[in-house]
Amino acid sequence: MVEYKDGADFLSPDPIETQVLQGSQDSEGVELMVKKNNDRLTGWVSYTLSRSMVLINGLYEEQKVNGGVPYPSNFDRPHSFNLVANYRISRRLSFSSNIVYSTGRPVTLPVAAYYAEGRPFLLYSARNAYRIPDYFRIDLSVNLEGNLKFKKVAHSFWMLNVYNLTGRSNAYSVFYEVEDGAINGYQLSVFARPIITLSWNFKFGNYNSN
Amino acid sequence: MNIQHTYKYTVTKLFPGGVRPKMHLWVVLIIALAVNSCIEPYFADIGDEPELISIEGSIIKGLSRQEIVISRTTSLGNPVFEPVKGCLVSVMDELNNEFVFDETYNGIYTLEIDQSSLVEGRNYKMVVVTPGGAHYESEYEILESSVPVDSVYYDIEPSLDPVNGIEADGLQFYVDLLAPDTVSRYFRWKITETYEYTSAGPIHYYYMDLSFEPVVPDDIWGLYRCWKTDELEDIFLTSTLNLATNEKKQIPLNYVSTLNDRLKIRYSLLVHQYALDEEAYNYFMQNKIATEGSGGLYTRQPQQPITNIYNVDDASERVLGYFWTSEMTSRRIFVSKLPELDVKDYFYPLEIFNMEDHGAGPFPMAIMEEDGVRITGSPICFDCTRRGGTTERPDFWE
Repeated sequence: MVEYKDGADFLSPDPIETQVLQGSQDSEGVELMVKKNNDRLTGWVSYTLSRSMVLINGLYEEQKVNGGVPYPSNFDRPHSFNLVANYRISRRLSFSSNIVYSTGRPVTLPVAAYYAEGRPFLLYSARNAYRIPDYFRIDLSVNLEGNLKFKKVAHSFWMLNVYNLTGRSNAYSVFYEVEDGAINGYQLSVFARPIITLSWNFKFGNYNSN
Repeated sequence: MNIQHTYKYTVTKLFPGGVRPKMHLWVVLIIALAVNSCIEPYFADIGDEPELISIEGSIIKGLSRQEIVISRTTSLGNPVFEPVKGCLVSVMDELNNEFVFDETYNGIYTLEIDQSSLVEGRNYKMVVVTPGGAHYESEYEILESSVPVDSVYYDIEPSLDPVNGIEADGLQFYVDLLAPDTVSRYFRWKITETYEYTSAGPIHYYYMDLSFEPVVPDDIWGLYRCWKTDELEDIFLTSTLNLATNEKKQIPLNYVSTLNDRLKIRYSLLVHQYALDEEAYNYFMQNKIATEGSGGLYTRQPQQPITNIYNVDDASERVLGYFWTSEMTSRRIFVSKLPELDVKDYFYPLEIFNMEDHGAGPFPMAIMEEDGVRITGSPICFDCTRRGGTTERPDFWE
């Protein structure tokens, strides 16, 4: 695999080979899943424990990233938890919920400032030494089916969804801005509020039609 | 047109067809709130903020006063220079000769070293003991011998001003490198520019108060002509490692545009040349990359600073800064006003004196008379030192 070397210029007109180094990536983990298909409560829950580490090492300093010490890859996600649960109150009324959790992705952050030759410099952490905030989201929906008549041309149902029930500001990205001489951090969240949707759906046939 | 009328007019124009404004307003608001992306302040959980020490030092043959600067890292919210005072600072050579530095200013330690003590090919190291007892040393660095600056010259070249997008001519300065293969293959240049400039004109007299009695100064041209000297922050480096010989032509230095008045009268460039070892070159290249890249914080992959300084009692402590040695050679060139260059004048906000605008001062008020017309302006118009220069002609000025 390849990684950008320290000080790589993302806008460089030079060939990309001059800005990257080759190395190896080791990934390992275990996935667990339990599924329930019967009765009023159905669904599944899964958990994944994994690590993905990168090693870029070489004879000389300029051939190394992170001093030749393994570091988390950009896609390292140690914990990932998913739960999907459906509860059928009656043939017409059911609830479903979705819970997603995963560890935040690794990031290299500025941690301090210092002066050299009279000019300010940013001191950065080791490569991918920090993580953006963990991702957590709960979705909930209520499904109300139409009447259960056997002979009907079309069958409809209402669905009320709440995406991101807790309104958590999951970080899409973390960035810094220079403002009045200070370096301030910000996080961008795409959906930072619960999103409520109400939809009406129909299909030809009756309740049991596919 | 009141607010309610404006609102109904606007919404009706946006949603024609007789739609009720109230219903659409709710729909628009709900959608906006639902899909609203959010930018919030972010405070990384970095624990105790690292307080690393930064030690910059050099031993330069050809420079009478040597300097070592010691500071600490500061938080991102307040990135200021935080000096470390009260350190014991010295430089030792391989023969155990010790040169002890004095703290001349906060965090700045200096010493005048006799040039005979700075020997090319000899190794030097820096030793720092902080008031807290931490003991830092650098690795031994060999004092690289440099070569005379071969030539410094300029070419007239156009350039696009990044601020206002105007293309104008200017002078691009270059240096040629000519060195034997026995000398280092890594070089650095530091540039100091000096230029002569003038104020808007002589001060024929002052008005000192509301009496508006003219007071003639001792020398009406006393604050007219100045010289300003600046050491440029840019880092100029080159390496001839991949070249067959230790020579390189037309190495670009600084560019001086005609959109300012530095080339209006006379301009001088003092070029200092240093020979570096490979690691010092890499250190300065890192600094160059960090400070001179375009596009702000996100065009380059962050990098870990190189250092040759370590804590003697704790090798795992992260230390910033570098200690380097070199011989320095210099060359100065002068550039007089070039007729082929249209150099812009400095804008002085002059005004014709009248009692209505200037009757209340401020005082003292400088007045220049031209064809019987009294001209005044802010102090920068008639006092050339306000732009940072000095009326004292430099000794080296030709």
